Amino acid sequence: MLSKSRDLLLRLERKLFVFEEWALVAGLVIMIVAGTMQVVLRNFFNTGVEWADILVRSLVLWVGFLGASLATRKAKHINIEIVSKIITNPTLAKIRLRTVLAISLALTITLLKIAIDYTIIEAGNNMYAFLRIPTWMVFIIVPISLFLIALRLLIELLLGEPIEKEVLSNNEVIPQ
Amino acid sequence: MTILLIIGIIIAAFIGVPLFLILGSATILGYFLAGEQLAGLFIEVYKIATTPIFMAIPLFIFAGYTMAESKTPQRLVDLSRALIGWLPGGIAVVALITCAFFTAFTGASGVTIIAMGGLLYPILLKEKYSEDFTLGILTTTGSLGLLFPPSLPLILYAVIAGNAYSSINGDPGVTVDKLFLAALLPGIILVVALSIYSIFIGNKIKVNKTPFNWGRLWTALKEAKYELPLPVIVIVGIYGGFFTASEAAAVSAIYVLIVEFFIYRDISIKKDLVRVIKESSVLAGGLMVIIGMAMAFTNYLVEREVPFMLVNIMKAHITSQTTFLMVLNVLLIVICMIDNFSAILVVVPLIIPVANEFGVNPLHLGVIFLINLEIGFLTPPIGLNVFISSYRFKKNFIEIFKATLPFYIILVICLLLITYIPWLTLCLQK
Repeated sequence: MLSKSRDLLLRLERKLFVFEEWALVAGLVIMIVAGTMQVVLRNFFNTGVEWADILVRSLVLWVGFLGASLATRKAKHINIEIVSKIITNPTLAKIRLRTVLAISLALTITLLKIAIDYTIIEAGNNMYAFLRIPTWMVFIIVPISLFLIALRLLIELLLGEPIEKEVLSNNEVIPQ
Repeated sequence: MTILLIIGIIIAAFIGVPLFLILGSATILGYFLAGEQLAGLFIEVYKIATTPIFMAIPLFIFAGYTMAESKTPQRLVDLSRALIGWLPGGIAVVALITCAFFTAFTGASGVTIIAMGGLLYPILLKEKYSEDFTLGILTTTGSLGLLFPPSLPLILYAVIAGNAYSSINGDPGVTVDKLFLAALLPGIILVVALSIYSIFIGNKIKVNKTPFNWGRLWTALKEAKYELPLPVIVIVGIYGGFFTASEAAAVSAIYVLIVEFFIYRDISIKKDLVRVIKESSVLAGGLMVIIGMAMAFTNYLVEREVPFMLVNIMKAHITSQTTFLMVLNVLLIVICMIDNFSAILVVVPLIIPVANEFGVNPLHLGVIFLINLEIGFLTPPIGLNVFISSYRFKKNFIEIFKATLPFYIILVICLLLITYIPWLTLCLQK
């Protein structure tokens, strides 16, 4: 039963991951291109696209939060590592990891709930970020990412390890 | 109950719960106790999408990662070796300069030690440097360069401090371009001081030297000809008024993208681009969520007038600027050990009102803060560089710290010089 629901969650995570990956790549590429375009337009043609700056800034929020949910996948969030470095006993290390994951999951769900509330408030405000894009559509990535983070923390809590394990890159080995 | 919750949050932080969750929950707790709307937390987080400078973070990290993944480290080492490798201790100076360049672009996130360490470690040993010296210098250089443009901690400091000063007297006092200029000479002083020590050691143990050779220099120059203009483009672009510091990040990103993927072709757009974007975004994203939550937490502290209380406590015990600066340095090294970016985000808004009260120049304070960061990275037991090095070079971290000690002492001496001679920071300002 447990392993079945775990596999189901993992499959769901995989599907979402593909979308997330592409959104992230598209977001960063558009940021680079639009950002540079503004510099070129201003310096060489003395003009600029009014909404492009706001588009780029909005993408920072998107790329940032998508990156953060990927960081959960690899267990690469920035944290204080002192205790995990000191503990060498494998049983204690496991207990620590599961405790951290459980606390993180509870905190993420709390933040997710508040983020959804905020999105609803924003949606009622009828404010536009740029063009016809309302501010809540820019913000929506925050609850989406928090949902993905919560999903991944739950899977990792069930697995007892990160979804994507650290793979050493090609230049990692030191020649002796 | 409240006390219990606060203790709970602190324990959670120390056992390894991600910092953005820690800062987020601390803020929620604060808002809850003050009876405010919890959704207010996200008003601050949304500022990520309205503050222009934040685009610099994902884009500079992307540029840095792309260079680290391609053969840029090799080309830079070849070039500086041809240029200064003939000096006694020249190869150590090569390590200092190339690592500083990389750290400026990747913000002391460990990328320098990972990318440059593997390359320089065998070279230094082959030239007869002792293992201790090699480990020491490579660990130290992991954060050397935080003072050079376009260093991320520097940009972040300028943004956060600018906000804090604006709320005190309406004038930001610190801007990214002013702080770049202020940090330039202190940055050079750190590199020069470490170089002098390295040359001295090189002389003493009679290390091998690479003889100077024009042909070699010319080849290395030709090899690196597309990468060398990058810092120049960034600096001329910003100070020539062609683009802002945040736009400089987009220009660097596109420049590096074209150079590494299409001209050098060390990495392929098909095989590597998605991976590099993902890897750099994991770091950038990890930072952005902390930044968002930390801004909310700081906002809460300022609303509760915590900085004002700190000013009063400090003024009751400290009377002179000299003592204040000394206390500040000790305090900062301790704080910066924990985590550099959160240190900037949470601590800066708190110390700025106090420093302002003692008449410390905003730019001078910024430089002092950044040097403390560099040193904090090396301070046991939780200095990040020490850990990354011990992981990278597979050495016990006590060994690493012992090896780093001479470099550590030199950095502390430089810190004191720069702290007590404000001219070093302010002479380049108009």
